[in-house]
Amino acid sequence: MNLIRRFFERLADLDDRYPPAAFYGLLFAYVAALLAEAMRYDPRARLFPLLVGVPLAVALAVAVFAALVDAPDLGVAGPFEGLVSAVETHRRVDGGDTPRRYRREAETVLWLLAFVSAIRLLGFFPAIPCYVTAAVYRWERDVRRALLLGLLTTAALYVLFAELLSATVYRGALAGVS
Amino acid sequence: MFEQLFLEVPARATGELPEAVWIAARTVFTPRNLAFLTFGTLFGLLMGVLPGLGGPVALALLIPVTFRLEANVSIMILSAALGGVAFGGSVTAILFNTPGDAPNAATLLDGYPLTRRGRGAEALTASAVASAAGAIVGLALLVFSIPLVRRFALAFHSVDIFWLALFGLATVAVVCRGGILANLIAGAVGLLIAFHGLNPVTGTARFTWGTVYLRDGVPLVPLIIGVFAVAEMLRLASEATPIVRTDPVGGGKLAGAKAVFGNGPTLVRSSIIGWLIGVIPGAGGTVANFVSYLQARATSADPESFGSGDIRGVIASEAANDAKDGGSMVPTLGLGIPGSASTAVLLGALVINGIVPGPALFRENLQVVFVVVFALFLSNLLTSAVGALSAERISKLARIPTSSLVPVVLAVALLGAFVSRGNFGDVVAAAAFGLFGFLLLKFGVSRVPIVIAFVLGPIAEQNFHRTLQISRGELSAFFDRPISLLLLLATALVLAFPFVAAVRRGRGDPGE
Repeated sequence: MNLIRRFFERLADLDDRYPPAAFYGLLFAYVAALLAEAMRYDPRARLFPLLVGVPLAVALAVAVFAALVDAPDLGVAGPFEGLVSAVETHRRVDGGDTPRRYRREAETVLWLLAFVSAIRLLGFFPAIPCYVTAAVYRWERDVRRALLLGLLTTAALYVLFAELLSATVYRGALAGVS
Repeated sequence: MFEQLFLEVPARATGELPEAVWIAARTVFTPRNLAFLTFGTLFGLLMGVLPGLGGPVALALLIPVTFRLEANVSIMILSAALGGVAFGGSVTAILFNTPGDAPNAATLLDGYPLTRRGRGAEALTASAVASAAGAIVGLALLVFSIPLVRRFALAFHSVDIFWLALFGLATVAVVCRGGILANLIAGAVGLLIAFHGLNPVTGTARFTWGTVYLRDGVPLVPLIIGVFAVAEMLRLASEATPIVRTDPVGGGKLAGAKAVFGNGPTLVRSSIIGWLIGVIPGAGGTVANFVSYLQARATSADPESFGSGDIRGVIASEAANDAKDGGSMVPTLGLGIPGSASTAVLLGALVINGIVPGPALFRENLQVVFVVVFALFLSNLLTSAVGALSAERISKLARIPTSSLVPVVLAVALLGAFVSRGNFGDVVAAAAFGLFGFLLLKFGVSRVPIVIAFVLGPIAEQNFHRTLQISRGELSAFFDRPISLLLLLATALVLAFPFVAAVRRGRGDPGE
C-alpha cells in the first residue's frame, strides 16, 4: 500500500505540463502511424486522410510544444502567441488533494476494465449484479443497499432489453460464446 | 413483443410539406407512441435532475433502446427526452443552486434566492410554465421558418454540401468550449476515426489493421456512448462530489403561474432571443440563458432586484432555454450543423436511423422535422405539468449519490453498446472511447467536434468525390457556384476570426 501511495504522490509531483504533453504525443504517434499506412493506398483513397492527417500532425506537434514550454510565459509576440495560447486551456486546474484524485481516477478506470472483463467471461447478466454490487459496496460500505441496487439494476435491464426489446444479450466466453 | 407494436406505423418518408405533417401526426398521435413519448420525456427529466448527466448522456443511453424502432419513432423519443432534460436541469438550479445542465446556469441567479426566501414552489412553477411557453414560441418560429429553409435546402448541389460540411466542422471547432487549436485537433481526430473501414467511394478498406471488426468502420453507437456516457461516468466517479443539501421548498404554485402571464412582454422577448441564439450553430443554451436574463434585467424598471429573487429572472432564462431548442433545430436538421452537445448526439442518432442530416433531410425526410416539433411540444407540456405539480418529489432524485449512480449508468451504457449490433467488440469500443473521452475531459478538449466530424466527414468526402465525378475531374467545379463561394468565404472567416482576435489582444497589451 505504501508503494501505491508513493507512486501516486510521485505522479502528483510531476510537472503539470507532462500529462497533456503525453496525451498529445500519443495522439501524434497514432496519427503518424495512420499517415504511414495511408501512403500504401491508391491516390483517391489516401487523399482525404492525408488532407486531414498532415495538418493534424502539425497541430499535435504544436500542442505538445505548447504544453511542454508553458507557452503563455514565453513572451512570444504576434500570430504565434495567438496560436499557441489557444491550447493553454487544455490544462486542468486541480483543486484539492491531487494524489488522492489520481488514485481515484486510476481506481475508476480499473473498475471499468474489470467490468468489461467480467462481461467477456460471464456475460452481461451474471456480470452486472456482481459489478454493481461490488462497486456500490466499495464506496458506500452498505451491503444491503449494494445488493439491492445490483439486483434491481439487473432485473430492470433484463426486462427492458431481453424481454421487451427481444435483444440478444451476450452470454460470455465461459458459456462457449465468442 | 415490441416488434408487434411497431408494425402499426409503416415507415414513410417524404419531402412534401402537407404529407410530412400528416406522417408526423400519424406517428406521434397513436396511443402506443404517446406512451413511448411519455417514457422519453420522463427519462429526459430524470437525466436533467440527476447530477452530472444531462442531454448528451440521456440521448446516448436512449439510442440503443430506440435503435430497433422505426426511424420516425426513434427520433420522436429522443426529441421528447431533449424536452424533458431542459426542465430537469432547472429544478436543481432553483432548489440546490446547482444547474443540472449548463443551459440552466442563469436560472439559479434568481431561482435559488427565491427558494431561500421560502418561495421555491413559486419559482419552480414559474419555471415550468415559462419553459412550456418558451418552447411553444420557439416551435412556432421553427414551423414558420420551414418553407424558407426548405427552399434554401433545395438549392444545394453536391459541391455545396461539401463546403457546408467543411463550414460546419470549422464553426463547431471555433465555438465549442476549449481552445480553438484543441477543438480543431478534436475535429480532425473525429475525421480520421471516420476514415477507418471500407470506403464506399473508393472501395478501399482503410486503417483496418488486419481486423475484421474495423472492416465496417468504427461504429457510431459505441462512439457516442463511450465519449459521452462512459466518459462522464468516469469523471463523476473520480470526483468526490458532496451530497446535495436541500432547503424547504415552500408554497406559491399558483403565484408562480400567474407571474408568468403577468410578465408577457418579458416572456415573449426572452423566447424570441432564445430562438435566435439557438439558430446560431454552436451558440448553445448557456448563451441563450444568460443573454435573455441580462436583457430582462436591462429592460426592467428596477434592475437591482435581479439576483436577489426576482421571478422575472427565472421566467426570462427558462423561456429562452426552451425556445432555443426550436431554433437549434434549424441548423441541426436543415444544415447538419448542431448547436450543442445534445443536438450533436441527435445528429448521430439521425445517421444511425439512416436519415442524412442537412439539406437532403428537407428534400427527402421532411416528416422528421414535424416529428421533432410535435415531440418537443408535447414533451414540454408534459414536463411542465409534472414539474409544476411534483417538483419537490422529483428534486429528491438529485440526492442520489454518484457512487450509486455511476455503476448503474455504466451497466446500461455497455449493455446498450452491445445490443445495437450484437458484437462484443462494441463493448470494448465503448469502454475505449470512454477512456479517450475521459482524457479529453481531463485536458479541457471538447468532445462535441469529434462526434460532429465523425458524422460530417464522410458526407464531405462523398460529396467531394461526387463533384469530381460530375465535373469529370475539373477542380474549378468547387468554385463555380455562388453558394459554394459564400460557404468557402464563411469557413475562412470563421477559422481566421479567433487568430485575428488573439493577435489584436496581444498587440493591445504589449506588457503582458
